[in-house]
Amino acid sequence: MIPNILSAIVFLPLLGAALVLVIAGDDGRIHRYVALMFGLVTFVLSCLLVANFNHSTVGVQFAENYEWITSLKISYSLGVDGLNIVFIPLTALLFLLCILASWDRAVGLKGYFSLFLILETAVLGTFAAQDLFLLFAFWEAALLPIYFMIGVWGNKNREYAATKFFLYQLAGSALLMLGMLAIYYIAEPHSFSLIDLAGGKFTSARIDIGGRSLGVEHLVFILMLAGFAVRLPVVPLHSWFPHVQAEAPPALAAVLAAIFIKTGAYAIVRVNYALFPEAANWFAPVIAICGAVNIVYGGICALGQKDIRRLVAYSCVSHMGFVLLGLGIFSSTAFHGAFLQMGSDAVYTGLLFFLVGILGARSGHYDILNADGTVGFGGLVSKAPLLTGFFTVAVFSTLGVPGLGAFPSESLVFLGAFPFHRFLTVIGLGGVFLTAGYLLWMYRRVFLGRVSESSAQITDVTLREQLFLVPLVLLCVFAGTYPTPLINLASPTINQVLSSLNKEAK
Amino acid sequence: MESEFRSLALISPELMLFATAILTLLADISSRAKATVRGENGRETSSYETRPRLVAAVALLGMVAALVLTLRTFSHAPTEVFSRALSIDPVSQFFKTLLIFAGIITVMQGSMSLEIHRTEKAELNALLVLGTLGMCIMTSAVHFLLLFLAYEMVGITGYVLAAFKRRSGLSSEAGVKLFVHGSLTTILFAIGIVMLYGIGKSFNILDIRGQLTGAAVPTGYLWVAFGLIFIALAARLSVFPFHFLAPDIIEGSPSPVSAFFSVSSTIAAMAFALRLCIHIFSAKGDLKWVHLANFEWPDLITGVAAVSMTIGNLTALYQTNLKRLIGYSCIAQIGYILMGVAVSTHEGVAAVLFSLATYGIVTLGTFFVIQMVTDHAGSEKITILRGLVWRNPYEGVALCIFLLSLAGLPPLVGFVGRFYVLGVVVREKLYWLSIVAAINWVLGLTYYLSMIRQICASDRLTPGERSQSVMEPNAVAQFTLAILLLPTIVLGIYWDPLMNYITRSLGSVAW
Repeated sequence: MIPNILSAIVFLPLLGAALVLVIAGDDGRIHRYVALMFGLVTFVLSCLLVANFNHSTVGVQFAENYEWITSLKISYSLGVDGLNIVFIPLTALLFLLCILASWDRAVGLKGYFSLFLILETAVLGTFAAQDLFLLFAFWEAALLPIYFMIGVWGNKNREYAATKFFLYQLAGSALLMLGMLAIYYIAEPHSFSLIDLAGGKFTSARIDIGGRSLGVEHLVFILMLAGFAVRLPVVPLHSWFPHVQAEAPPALAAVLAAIFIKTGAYAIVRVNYALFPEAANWFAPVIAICGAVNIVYGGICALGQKDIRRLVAYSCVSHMGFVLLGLGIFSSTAFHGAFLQMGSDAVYTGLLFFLVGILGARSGHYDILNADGTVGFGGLVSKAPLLTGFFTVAVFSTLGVPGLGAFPSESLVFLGAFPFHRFLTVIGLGGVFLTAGYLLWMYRRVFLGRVSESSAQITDVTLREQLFLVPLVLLCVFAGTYPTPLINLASPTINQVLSSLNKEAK
Repeated sequence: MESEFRSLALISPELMLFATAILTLLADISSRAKATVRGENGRETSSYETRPRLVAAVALLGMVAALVLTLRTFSHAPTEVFSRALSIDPVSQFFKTLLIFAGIITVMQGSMSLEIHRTEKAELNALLVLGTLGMCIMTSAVHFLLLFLAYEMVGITGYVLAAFKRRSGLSSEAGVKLFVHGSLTTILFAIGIVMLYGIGKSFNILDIRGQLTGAAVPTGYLWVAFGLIFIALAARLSVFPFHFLAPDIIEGSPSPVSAFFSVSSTIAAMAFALRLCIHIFSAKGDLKWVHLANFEWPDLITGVAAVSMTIGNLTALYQTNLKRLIGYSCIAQIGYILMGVAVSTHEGVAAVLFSLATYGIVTLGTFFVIQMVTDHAGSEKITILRGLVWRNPYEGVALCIFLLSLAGLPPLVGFVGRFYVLGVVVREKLYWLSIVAAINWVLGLTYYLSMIRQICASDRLTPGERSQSVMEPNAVAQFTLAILLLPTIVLGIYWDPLMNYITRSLGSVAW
């Protein structure tokens, strides 16, 4: 086994970014091969990681622990367990496919690819970190590359979208920073290590604010949750997301929707649930309600969109609601469903955004309906049958048709949620109908019907495009038919988190 | 006699600075040659041919020598020399290192500035060196008379420096403003000192502190004395209630002087503010400094910090002049750092020293690039930054990094400073202050981002415009930028050595 394989996975893309910047030349011909190579090696290493992962143990594996800042007891500490083992190869795969998807970008390839690889390091680091400070550092490090990629390579309204993105995220980070400092100073002995801090060490700590004694655990839980919720995005804090998805370059939009926002859900479990089990029990109903609200609100908003990118973005908000709903219910079924949903959502949302990007690149616009009410696309099935085929898989995976994408995960969430929150489950089921509504509505106008003027010259997907679409289609089928291996990877750790959560239940 | 002689070795950096100022002027005079210039009206006028490079080299060499001498005395055990007038301790030497480093960068900036005529560079350099000298004495002085003289020395060089761009109305206005306010604050400072003399029957800070420990002094009396001295410092720190001065002066002065005011002047004033709060009005405790005579001075500082941060950030939001914007952002930055003083713990003061050092480096870098851009464009509007990163990638990326560090984003050093300061605030349970600071973090980002958005904007430049508006690369400037960039990034990732050093220094001082 390779020593420090986890560090290698996390920092190889950064090395690639440096190399891309250093290599001379502006046309980017060599640079994209370098980027592809580093993406590929990272992915291969992450597959090795999964292959050597021990399914049966609960604890952190491949752990790396080095002192970093001794005066604050910050350590450079990475490790994988059931919570993040799925996301590391998934991240590596999606970034690899995104590099392929950005292959023939015209301008500024050098900067584009190096920022992309920096973002990959940041996201992988967020998943792998076992130290709160390190997690926060990676969490923040993801913001800048995204900001610059939207601001420079985005669509017409890019500067506004980039600024909005950054301000929302930083507001969340400010809350996280306060929460993190409170955790550090309240824990005795002071520590940032997520492993040392885990397991309800804050239950008895109290603080006085304005003469009233309040439980620290609950306050800090809400601070951290709000910080993570901005990224998730939970409904009142979501409005950066559709804007950003409409303005970001297509490959970045795919990464943001598929992987970047999953870090929010992951961090809630990794930090909030592991550190504050009692507060988690206390707050779980609110999380479940937020999930139901996300499902319905995202669905209703998606119904009203005329821009296909915004429609898919709201669909994504709605589907993150299933994750939240599952995380808000501490039953094994619902929890597993939530985790599976995070994984399968990454696959089909990524696919959907790639396809939307291809559609936009061919036609130059994203309007399902024009301003005058006429159909923007139409009849694509005859013009581009392969594209239509891929789209069909993506749409039906999102819908959760049996055998594809979201079906097992959503079923698990509903099965697990029903005994606890019947009302919320019914609302969530309503969300599935909404999904069917807006997706089929979109599908009919884009692919069926008469061929409109703008879609007349749309060509079918090329071989290179098939190269990055086919793996995702296969994964959609895999996640929809036989998700057991994925569940087996995550199951021991999930059960452990759940048992510590349920121990605190009254 | 021998001991006095040995004491001279301890103040060798100051002596070196003094010699440098004289040598700079001498080098200028001796290298001048008469030349005749034919004016526009055809008449021949006699003028001088100067050698600004030689002058700059003399000033820089002298400053570097002073820096080396400071580093040599760095780890000297705390001592008071010259009849207990100057305290040489690791903390004062830390401040001196910062001040002389800032002096070197500003002299570098001055020698490149297009705002300063080549015949005037020598005077500018000499004044910058003299100002640095005054500030160095301010950080060491423990006798109020010496302190007052140093305060005045910094003030007088400041008046001249601010008005150095003689043909500019704004610059003259800045000089006059500084002079008027400077006179006022000097009086307040003097009254404050006299009030403390009334208690301590001495001008020596250590004696006054001894008297404060025992005597039952009315709190109101202490508030007035403390308040007067603090207001006099507020003008130099550019915090509330004298914050309104800073943007005018930073906008009006030539760029090197703007950098000098917003970095060196602030560092020196903060050094004395620490001495005032911690050294005079507190006694060393186990973890915290104990406030003497039940005088709760932190209440005032907390308020000043919160108000300065908020005012600075809110006003910066709608500025269109680049230097003025940075001026307002400095108000906010210093407000942020002041929170560390307010908690009056050892950790708090360590956080102050750390973030002051990083603030200095990053602000110097910002002004360095801004001077290059404004000199090249001949304007100070924010819009001149548009597309900088495409025209001059190195300078553009450098400015982005400095601004992001000021905004407090990891993995840059500005974040670490903020992290420490916010940390001590949370630790001391000043929750409302920590929330104000967190809101200000986001507020500040808004205008830093608006500048970065301009820098990275890719449109509105035709290829012709692009090649036209490129600044000529300057090896010296790029080298200086690299010196400033290096700590901004490296200390942002691994800051342990600096922080450990600061903690150890604080542990050894007798405060």
